[in-house]
Amino acid sequence: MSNPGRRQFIRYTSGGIAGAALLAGGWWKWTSMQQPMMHASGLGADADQLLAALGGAGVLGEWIIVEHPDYDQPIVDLTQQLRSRLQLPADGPVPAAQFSEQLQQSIQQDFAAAALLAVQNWQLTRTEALVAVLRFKTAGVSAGAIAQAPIEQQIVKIANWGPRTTTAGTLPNSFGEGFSALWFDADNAPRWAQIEINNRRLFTTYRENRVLVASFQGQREFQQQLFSQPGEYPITLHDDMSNSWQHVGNFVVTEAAANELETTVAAENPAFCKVKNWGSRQTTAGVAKHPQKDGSMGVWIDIDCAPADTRLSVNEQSFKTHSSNGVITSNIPPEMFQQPGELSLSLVSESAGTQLEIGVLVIQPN
Amino acid sequence: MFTNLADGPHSANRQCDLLILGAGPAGITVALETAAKAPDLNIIVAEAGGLEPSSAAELDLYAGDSEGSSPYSLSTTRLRYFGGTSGHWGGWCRPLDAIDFIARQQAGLAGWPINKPELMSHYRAAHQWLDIPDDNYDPKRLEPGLQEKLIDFSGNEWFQNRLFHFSPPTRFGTKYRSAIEQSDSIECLLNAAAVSYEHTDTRLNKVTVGGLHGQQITIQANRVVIAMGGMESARHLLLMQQQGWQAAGLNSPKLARGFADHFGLRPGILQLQADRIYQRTESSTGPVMPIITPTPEALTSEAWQNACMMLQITPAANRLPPGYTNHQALGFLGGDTWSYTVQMVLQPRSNENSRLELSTQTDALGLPRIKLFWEIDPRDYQSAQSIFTRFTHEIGRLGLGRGQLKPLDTKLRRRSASGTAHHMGTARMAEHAADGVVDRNLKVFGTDNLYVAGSAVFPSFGYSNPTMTIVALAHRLAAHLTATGTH
Repeated sequence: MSNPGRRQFIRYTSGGIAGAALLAGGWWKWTSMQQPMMHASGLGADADQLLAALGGAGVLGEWIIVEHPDYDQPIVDLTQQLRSRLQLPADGPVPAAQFSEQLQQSIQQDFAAAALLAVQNWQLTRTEALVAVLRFKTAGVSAGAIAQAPIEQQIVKIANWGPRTTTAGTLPNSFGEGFSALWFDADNAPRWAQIEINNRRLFTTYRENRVLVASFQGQREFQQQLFSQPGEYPITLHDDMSNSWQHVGNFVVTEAAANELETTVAAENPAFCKVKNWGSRQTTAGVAKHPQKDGSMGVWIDIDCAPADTRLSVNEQSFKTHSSNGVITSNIPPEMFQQPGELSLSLVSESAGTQLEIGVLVIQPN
Repeated sequence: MFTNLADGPHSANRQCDLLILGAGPAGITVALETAAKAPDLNIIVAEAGGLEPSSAAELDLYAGDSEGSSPYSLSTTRLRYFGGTSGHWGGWCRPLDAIDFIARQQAGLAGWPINKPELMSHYRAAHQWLDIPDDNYDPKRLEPGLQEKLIDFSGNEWFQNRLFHFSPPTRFGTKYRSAIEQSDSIECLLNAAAVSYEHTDTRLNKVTVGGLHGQQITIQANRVVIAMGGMESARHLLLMQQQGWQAAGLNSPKLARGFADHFGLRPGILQLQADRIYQRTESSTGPVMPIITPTPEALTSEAWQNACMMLQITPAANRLPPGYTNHQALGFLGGDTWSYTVQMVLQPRSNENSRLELSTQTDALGLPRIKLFWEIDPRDYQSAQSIFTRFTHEIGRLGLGRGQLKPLDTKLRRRSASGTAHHMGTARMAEHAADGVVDRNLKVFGTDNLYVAGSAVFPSFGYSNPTMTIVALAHRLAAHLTATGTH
């Protein structure tokens, strides 16, 4: 399977340095591939060799020039400023050890004195900015600074996940603020693992060392778009630390069926007012949210009006309801929430001949 | 024992030595501690809810308007049943720091009329109440394997490591229910919300309690403790003020002003040595959360508010170029680096514009609803930025990595600010009524027998979750009530 399209190779290259070879191994592990010097810095061969070995600094130098054009100076001027900053002699070769030591000290002093430069909002010292630009001007960009594409591999075994489907126009497993969330039973997943759906990263949290929850929080427009279009949308798990990803499955959005359209029409029937809120929308297998004396789980629906004979339908089983002050309550028997899965809830009135879809109660694995 | 007012009918009038309004962590602690110290006292605890979570209709009694710059939920951040908000708290515990008690005008922070040493014995007791076996918050007590995962701030003038501990979390409504049930001197009235008050110049004489069930009784008490939480306590004090009670504390300019909550900030990202642990983790003595805080010296010299930072391992799309952070010549200590999102909890300034008011609308019990104007002091964001900026400098200076600042957009952050259900500061403790509502013993200024317990009395807030300090203050209040007699 190919990696979802959004991910592309990110190449930090510039000038005459092609640097296109991708290195094997870890994502961030710098291999000391050294570049031949394009230009001498004027600091001597030792210092030039050290400069050339500063992988990543060339890329940074390029960033700095883009963001701070005043750093785009001739090599000789940059070298002079660096000598001054490092308190090195005005000319002559600089031994590598001395260069390295003075560089470290100057960077430390810059941090202590807040002599800094913001580059892409990174807080860098003025000394390292000079070095980075000099590195870029003299040796360009290292091949090792090219970011690799993530590789597909199994990161963790996912025992179960859900919800897996919805009908177009219905938010699956939607919470109070109107955001859907998907859950993944993934024992020992890296705590930084992230879920993507249709190449879009979701807000992913890790609960109780077992369940990943991926929410559409903050992505209302994307959520609306995704769940309104019938289709299959790939879900992938990503571990950016190991630069890897795995396919989890496909989320299916089906066409709204004719009877569901009727339900929608029924929802506009004066028999039922609009559902303002309801809950609980999720629980853990075997756990009754709002437990009742008989072990059943209480659910509530905030609705201003409903026929007197309204019953709660749970996966097509019907239960009696109570109504008080605009809130309908009912109980779901314990045998219905012992296993992970989903319960489809709706209100049904025989006298009015209508059914009002409420939503899906998600039962997460315990 | 428990009496459910909804089961009525009951005797219309009752008397007691001590009436506690509210059975959350503060109310339950005051009741049981007072009963233990003075078994002859007749104590009534009036809880607005029952033993189970409220119905929607009951929760509607908490509804009101949120009209501040930052939206705030009035109902979901509170629980109206026996045990109060301990029914949904996360168990984070840490006493306030000593500096949190000290007034620091330059930082715009009020002090407490008591200092931390005065509260230490009560903090120790609070650990027992909250089932926390370990009261050592110094990370040096962690086993070496965990210490190695912390940044070494030895001798650092700016930052230091500290710890949070965790209560299981103790659900007061579950754990202390049998103690109340079996107590000979405590009667807990359920579904008994305070609905009206009778007072003289200096004394609250009678409180009538009732509920949606329609039953009411009036209780005459020698002393009354309001322990309803940071919003509801202020609401009822405002109600007394509205009824014309002239007591100084009820007419303090600070009453219901300075409402504060700890709000989360994410000031930036670090690219830092791999495998640093500043998240909840297991230690040999239970779960802990290592945190990074400014040193007291830095707080003083920079006029910063107190703050703590946690690091969440979160791969960031935006990283420094590969290999850059490996070079010793650039001062880096070497090794892999990970990305961490910094989560900061900042001590909020007490903002006078952040306030509660009584609405002209009433609830089903006839009480005025509340309007909340939650206003975060804009300077709080600058403080957070300043602390984090200095932190990135230290991370760089120590060769551990680099930091990236998130752009500061105060308006956007205010709109998206999210509270943590820590309702604080609406009935501040102070030396004088000009500066607060209650005195150092939590008695409302100008009254002889009215007290407030809970985080409403905090004059400043630190960054620590409030429950431990709430329980410590309740423990201290019980000692005061028993030491000063029954009248």
